[in-house]
Amino acid sequence: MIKLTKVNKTFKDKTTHINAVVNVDLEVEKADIFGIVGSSGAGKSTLIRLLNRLETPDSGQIQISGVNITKLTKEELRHFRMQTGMIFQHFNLLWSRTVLQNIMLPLEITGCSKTEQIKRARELLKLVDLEDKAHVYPSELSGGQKQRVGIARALANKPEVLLCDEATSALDPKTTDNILSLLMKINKELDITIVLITHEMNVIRKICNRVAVMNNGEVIEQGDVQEIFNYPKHEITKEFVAKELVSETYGTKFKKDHSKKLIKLVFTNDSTRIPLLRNLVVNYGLNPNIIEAKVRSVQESQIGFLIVEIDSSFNLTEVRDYLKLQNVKLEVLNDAR
Amino acid sequence: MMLDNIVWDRMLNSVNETLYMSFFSVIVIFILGLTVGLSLYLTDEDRLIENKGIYRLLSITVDLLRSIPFIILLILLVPFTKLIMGTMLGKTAALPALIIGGTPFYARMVEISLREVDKGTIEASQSMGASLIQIIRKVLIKESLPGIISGITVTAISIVSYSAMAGVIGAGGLGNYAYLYGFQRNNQQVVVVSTVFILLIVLVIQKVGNYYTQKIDHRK
Repeated sequence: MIKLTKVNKTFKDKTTHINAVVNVDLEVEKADIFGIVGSSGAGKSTLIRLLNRLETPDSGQIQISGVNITKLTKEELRHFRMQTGMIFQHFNLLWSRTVLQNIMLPLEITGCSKTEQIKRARELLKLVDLEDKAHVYPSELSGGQKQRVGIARALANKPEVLLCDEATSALDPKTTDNILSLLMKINKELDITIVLITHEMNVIRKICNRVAVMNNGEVIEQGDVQEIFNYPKHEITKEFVAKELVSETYGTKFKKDHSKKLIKLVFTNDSTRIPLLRNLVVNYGLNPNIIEAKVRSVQESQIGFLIVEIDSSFNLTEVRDYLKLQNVKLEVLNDAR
Repeated sequence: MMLDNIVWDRMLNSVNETLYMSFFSVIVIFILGLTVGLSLYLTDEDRLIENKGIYRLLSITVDLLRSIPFIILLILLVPFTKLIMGTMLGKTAALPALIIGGTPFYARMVEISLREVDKGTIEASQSMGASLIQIIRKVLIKESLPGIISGITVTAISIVSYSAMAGVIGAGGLGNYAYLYGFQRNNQQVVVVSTVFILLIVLVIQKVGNYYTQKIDHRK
């Protein structure tokens, strides 16, 4: 569906030289929800803009539905863009138009008849559940509602691909979940391929089936979301996975105590079903104080962690062997603070 | 008796002339200023049709014309006015100076309003496959309309006062009347009444401008 081969993009001016996208190979299948994750400045914003050629690559090929979009003429490019929807972090609605008129904009651009425009816009309002807001101006909408309008607008010309540029980053967690469910629904019901970029791993976890991790312009890891969550290879990926699982509270709120150390246990799949802590207490004499624990579903599998505080003098060698056998990863978070 | 020194026919005729001069020049300024302002915006760095040469040429011309005091511009343009209008007296003769004085002023205001259009909305319309003309018509002008309207309001008010200045060197209108019949013949009543009429004209322009600016502004 979408295939990038050795794509490069550099931004240059007199003083700076930024390699925004470096040698990227990427493959997105039809009906995927493909997530690209990375911290700010990783190049994901540029990468997604290459997919509808808001940015032109310096080298490399971008094939979408078999067409090499780097070779399109101006007119062909406009035509191609009409068939690719895009939504944005800050929604980018026109304040001068009502909700209905905003959704009609892409249809005006393609040159649909007025009656056709209104009919289609009404259908889309129904799809995003905003039928009662047709004649309201965007300034009167909440963030989540604005993004719904953005989604309706992006779908107006029945695109095969929907590009999402940090679509939930300006929204609160609850609204984020609503928008993510809507995106899933669109992906399933309308069979639209979604490519999204985000800096939040939870967005990836919740809706993506495939993911690429970006750092300094390069894609350092890509594959199935489950696979990446369970067995992250690259250090940066591990950080992202860990950040998603461990809230940052324990580090800051937990009082320092030099006679204790914090250890983290990470479980995947089967190991989430063993009474692990009990075994450690009974068989190894561990004296744990539970600080934080969480188990989450990643698509169909489970992943969890447990942070406990133990005496810093406790020898972990035997425990390590046992845990390895149980497929649980152990990490000492802050020995001898 | 109050106001007995005023020849009302002459007075109302002057009001008419002022309205005529202001109205026609504002319409031309609106069209030219919008064109120049859009060109300035579009050719500026990182904009849709970036072109350093054109931008600098326009920008320098606009700044140059704006920095000439209007009264000097009037005198400077006398030969030019004579050439194209055939005269330098009367209401029509003021139009070239008013237009040349007002256009750069308004063009800058249009440019400023356009710059305030959210770049994201332009990017969004590009992502929909909009052409340059579609972006200008459907996004840029519509999204900057409150600024464009309030800009022409401010410009129109300046034009009314410029037209009075033009009157002093023979262009007719309330300025001319107040100067010739009020100042030179020492008739204070004429000066006061002329001022009141000018104030009324300005007030009406401001009210109408404010009304439309508010009516189309859905930003908040």
